[in-house]
Amino acid sequence: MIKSSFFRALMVAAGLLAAFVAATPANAVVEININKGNVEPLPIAITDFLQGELGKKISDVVAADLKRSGLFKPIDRGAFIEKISNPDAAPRFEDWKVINAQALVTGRVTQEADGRLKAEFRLWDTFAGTQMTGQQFFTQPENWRRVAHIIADAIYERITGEKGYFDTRVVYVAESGPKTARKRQLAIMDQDGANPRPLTNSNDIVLTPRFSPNRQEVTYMSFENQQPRVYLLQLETGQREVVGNFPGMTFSPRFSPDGQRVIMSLQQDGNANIYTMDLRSRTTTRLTSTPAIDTAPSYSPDGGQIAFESDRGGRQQIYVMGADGSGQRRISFGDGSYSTPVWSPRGDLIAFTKQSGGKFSIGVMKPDGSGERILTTGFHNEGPTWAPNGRVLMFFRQNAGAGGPQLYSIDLTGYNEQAVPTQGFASDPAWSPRLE
Amino acid sequence: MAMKGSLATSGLLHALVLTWALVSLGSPADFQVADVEALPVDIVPYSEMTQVQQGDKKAPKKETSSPVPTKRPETSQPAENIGDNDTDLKTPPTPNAKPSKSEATASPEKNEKPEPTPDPVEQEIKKVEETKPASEPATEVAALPEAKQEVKPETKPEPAPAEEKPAENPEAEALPEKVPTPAAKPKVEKPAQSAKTPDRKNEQTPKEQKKAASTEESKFNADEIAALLNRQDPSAGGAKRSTQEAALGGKKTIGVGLSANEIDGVKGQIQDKWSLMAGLTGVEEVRVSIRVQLDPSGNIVGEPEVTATGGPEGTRRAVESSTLRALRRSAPLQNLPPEKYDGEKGWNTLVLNFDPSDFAL
Repeated sequence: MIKSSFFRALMVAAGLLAAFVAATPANAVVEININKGNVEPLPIAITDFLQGELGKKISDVVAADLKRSGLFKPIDRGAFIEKISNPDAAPRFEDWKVINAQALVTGRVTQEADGRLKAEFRLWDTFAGTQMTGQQFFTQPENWRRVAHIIADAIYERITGEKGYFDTRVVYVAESGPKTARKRQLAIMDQDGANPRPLTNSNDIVLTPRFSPNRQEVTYMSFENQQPRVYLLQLETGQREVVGNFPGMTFSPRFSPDGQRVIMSLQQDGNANIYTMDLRSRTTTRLTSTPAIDTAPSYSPDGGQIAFESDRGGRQQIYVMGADGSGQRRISFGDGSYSTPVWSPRGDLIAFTKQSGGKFSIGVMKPDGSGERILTTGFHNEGPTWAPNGRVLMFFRQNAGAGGPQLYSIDLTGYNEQAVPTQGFASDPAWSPRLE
Repeated sequence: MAMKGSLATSGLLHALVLTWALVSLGSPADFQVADVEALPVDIVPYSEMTQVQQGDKKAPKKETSSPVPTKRPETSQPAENIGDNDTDLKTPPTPNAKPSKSEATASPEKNEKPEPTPDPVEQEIKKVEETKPASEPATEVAALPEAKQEVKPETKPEPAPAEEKPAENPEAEALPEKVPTPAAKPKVEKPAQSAKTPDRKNEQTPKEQKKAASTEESKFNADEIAALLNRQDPSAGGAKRSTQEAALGGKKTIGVGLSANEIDGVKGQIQDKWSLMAGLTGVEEVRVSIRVQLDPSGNIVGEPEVTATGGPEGTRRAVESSTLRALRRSAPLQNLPPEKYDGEKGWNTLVLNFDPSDFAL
């Protein structure tokens, strides 16, 4: 691997060098090499979709999504010069260039005869004077928020080249009540905090909910019946079942990328090991056998490897192994203890919680352990979860002196930390895949 | 009692061990710091590398660039033999040589450049000349180094009295300035031959190389010098002499048309307007090249040709859009000299090569 990439780099370098040497004397044209620029959000003008209140609400949600991503800067509507009356016609680009809009969104919402909602939008490149993309969607009127998120995803994707993450949901543990009698329930909401609703309603402690990658299913751990067990919850029907009937505590469950297996940690006789269970055949496979605590397993997006947390070396550290349990090796070597590893959906990074010097940090590292970067450090930070595009992380944090934890999101670059609005305290977030 | 005894023994043994340690364990060896050879370094102002050929700034714009024409001072008495030689001199060594010296230092028109340290530059130039004498469009580079080679064995920085020439031609280029141009002159000089640089290059190069070779073999040869003197047309010229009227500075050899400073100016304008988000997947593999036509005011003419390669498709498209936006937002491009607009090396067409690796995480 190293060889081929080194060789490739060498070829690229040689090619570039040859091109440069060849270009200079023989080629008469003036060549200018530009290799620096500015990292800044793109100023974008999002006009009210025609017509009426629903159009305005949709464009508001689009603008809020794009702004919250930190990569876009919606321009204040008060500065707009041209009033769009026909979103299909080419706008007066000069009016938009003058207010420094580098992109423009126009759109329309109409009610079809059969009651469905039709929403359409166009994204314009103001400096090129052309349309970049345009799409239309049909849905039920009460789904207008989802349409807005889908439109925001399309704009995000056209401009950044990355898949959007706005049409997603987050499952989390909603905490309420006084500290002495804290109630913890599973809850779900849109990624922007809208539409929150509870999933469980009991007085038992629930922990670590996780989304299935391809079904409307959540797996989580609950202490009901005084026994910590892993459960599967069907979101649409509300049905629940226990995952495996193990003689011992099972916790920290996650789905495999194909959604066919649940991987979890089973604690027996003082040590904990990692098991997978096939959801159809219900056969279980043991993957680790150490006298240590092995827990928090997370699959790579191709399903070939698993990252997990183990204290077999004396302190919590991150290990990686094959999906069959082979080749277990440690990848975290920094100063501190590492836990809750989560493999990015892009496959290029593993996020983790790090505790060092009395502080908690959320960080990322490459799957071989190199390139460790800390994104945020503080009194308490824990439990990162990736947005489906592998670009944004959500985690929870309890500020010093606060009554409970809150959810936060942060960009991969470490910038744009945002609080996620929830009705009460919240912890243990898990991001859904993009909804179909 | 027993306890006291063992305590005493323990104390005694401890004391013995400590004393032994104090006495016998020496201090560790000194940390050896290797002697590092000091590398001689010369600070060369950047402008000397970029101001390849400057004409007379106050001169009118012309078709071709040419430096200030060399002055013709008094023709010095040709002296056949001077210095250590056996032949009688026909005339005493002309004091003209000396006055020329002062002329050289005082009179060079528009000598904006201070004297740099010639030595290292000479060596540098020598290398340049060896590697690619013919590749540069202008002859200056080619001609001069060869001339300098001549100079080198014979003289050091100070213009030798024997080889004095009147005023140097500092505008010729950076390279010549560093060299005792007086010495260089005779070589370059073939005034009859041409005022056009390309011709000169072709004709002079072989001659100069030969001369250079022969000079190096011989020691300080007064005859040779005298021969040079004889042949010399007095001039203020440096390596690149021109009999044309002075014109604005010509195309630089670095930067193919525009000077490096001017290229930096354009680069800065575009970089200022190039925005991209950080950390896009595979962004370091993407390269975008835009070929754009400009009108004399720096505005874009027609549609730029864009070639984007490498990286994942989404990222590639995102980078491509951002580079086009950067170009369009920078237009009209400023500070591009109108006299350099035309021609195949003019800025009527630009190729912009974007490398977004800096935007990777």
